[in-house]
Amino acid sequence: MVKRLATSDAFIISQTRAADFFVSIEVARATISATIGRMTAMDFAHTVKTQMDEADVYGPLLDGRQWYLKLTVQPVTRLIVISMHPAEKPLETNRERQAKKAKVRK
Amino acid sequence: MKPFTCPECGGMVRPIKRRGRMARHSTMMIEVPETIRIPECDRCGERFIDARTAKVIDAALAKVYRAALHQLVRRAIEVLTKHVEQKDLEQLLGLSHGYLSHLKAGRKMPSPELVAHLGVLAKSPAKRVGELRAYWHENEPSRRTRAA
Repeated sequence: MVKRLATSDAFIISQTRAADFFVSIEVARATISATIGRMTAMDFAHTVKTQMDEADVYGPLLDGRQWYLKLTVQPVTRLIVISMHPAEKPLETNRERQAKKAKVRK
Repeated sequence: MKPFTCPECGGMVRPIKRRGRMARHSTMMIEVPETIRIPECDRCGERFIDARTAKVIDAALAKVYRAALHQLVRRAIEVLTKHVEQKDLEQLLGLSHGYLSHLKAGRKMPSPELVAHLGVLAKSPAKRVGELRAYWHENEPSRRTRAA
């Protein structure tokens, strides 16, 4: 559902924590839509509790750099991208967790 | 857009008009015209932008941005041409003859990159134009071959 909402432009983005990291708001929306469209379960990092809701945090790679993407889905299927900016510290996603497990097994 | 609950703080997000809202457009932070309604949280102040609002804001900011680039380029050319002939400046920047006249008259749209170059040169025109002239001179291929 998240992918469908993101790729059909039916989502809302926060300005200061997402849009302002891009050259324009429409570029931000297009990049976020494409990023969510490409994301897999391997990009998932963790779930956080916000004041009102729960939000999922992902660490997708854009041009080799990890980004911090936090989103939530509200009732009436409203997808809100709360954050989308370069990650300030490394996020451990499923990809890293799987790589760690594989290393231990060896 | 109908009001909704802010996902971060639980306040109410409603479309409102007001002054003093800044947004990024290319190289600058620009004030969003106060007539545009943007959904804003009444508690934390965060703004949330859907597809329709994004189009309206970007169109308004693009217009302001273009006007700002024209103003900056005119000002920089005015300062620089007190120290260097316009055709020399065009040559140093690899521009077509007469291009700066088109920019001054507002007939062409300058790129942010060119505005940045001219703006930096205009900060200290005599010194920086001299450095630019020397840079091209020192890096002429024939000179480099001889030096090697």
